[in-house]
Amino acid sequence: MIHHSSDQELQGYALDPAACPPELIAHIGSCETCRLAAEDYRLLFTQIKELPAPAFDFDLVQQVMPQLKTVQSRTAADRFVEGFLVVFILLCCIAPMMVFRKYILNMFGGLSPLLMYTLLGGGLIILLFTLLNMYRKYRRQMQWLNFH
Amino acid sequence: MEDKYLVGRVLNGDTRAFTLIIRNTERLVAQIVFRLIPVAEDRKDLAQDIFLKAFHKLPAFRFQSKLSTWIAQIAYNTCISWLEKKRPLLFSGLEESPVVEEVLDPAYPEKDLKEPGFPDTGWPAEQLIRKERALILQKEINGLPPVYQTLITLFHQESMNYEELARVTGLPDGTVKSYLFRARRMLKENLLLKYKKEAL
Repeated sequence: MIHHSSDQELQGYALDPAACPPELIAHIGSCETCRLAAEDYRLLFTQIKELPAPAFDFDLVQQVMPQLKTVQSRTAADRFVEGFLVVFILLCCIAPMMVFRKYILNMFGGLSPLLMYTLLGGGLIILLFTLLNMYRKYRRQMQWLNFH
Repeated sequence: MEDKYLVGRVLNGDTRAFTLIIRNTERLVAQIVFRLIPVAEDRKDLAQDIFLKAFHKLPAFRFQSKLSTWIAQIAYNTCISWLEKKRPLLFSGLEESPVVEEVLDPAYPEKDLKEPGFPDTGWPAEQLIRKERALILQKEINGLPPVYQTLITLFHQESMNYEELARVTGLPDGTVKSYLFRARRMLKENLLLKYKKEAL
């Protein structure tokens, strides 16, 4: 029974015969079936290479370049606003905690260990479900994109 | 060398140098955008978005790959993010524009189908056969899953190697090789099944 080359070997041969092991080159040289199959692949690769590349039907430089200047001039202002917002949000969080720290400490200090564990456990379960949901969403997207 | 020179110029405030970067990588970005985004109107916004992102992220580019590979990676990720957000819209777009129409997209001008690699022999019948053959092949490629299309065109048309493809797509080297192998086999089998040898 004749043992023909695998598709993987044929593709490798069609891409670069010089990189193939001598046994494979010898087999393809002597086996008509494998020679024709490798030739099919070689022709296919040549045809793909010769296909016209797609091109945008608009001038990309003209579309992008004017926007670079606009975005650049906004960068300094953006950084200032971002910095201001971060400081403001931090102040909004820290200030009430400082003012009401006594009450906050009393609030948690009065909790029983069981309740504390329940709260922590509940938080962890919610986190777990969120992560699981994220993973499911990722799997769905990958499946849709035909990754599998 | 050219990458370092161009990036250096842009980072020193010469935004005009970015024009050259766009020109050098436009074709590669188009290959990715056309393979992954089926709705023609969305490609314009995405292409702009890709280069704007590249411009803003340029200070973070560490020359661990070619600049073109890095921009291709941005293009691929931008398209994937877009697909994730616009999934329902994408499906409606697909229904409206079947694969055959995609082949006749203005981005693939019919005149070009005979030009690169097809020397004009002056024989109309021969030109017709070549044009038809290219159309058939284009149609079959468009029928492959988007990731396969992207890999096959980047490998065979843009001469990217496995390592570069892995970097662009974020897939492991082995997966890239496996997908490419399957894509080629699928393409060959489909062509042989539908059109026999004449297609090749």
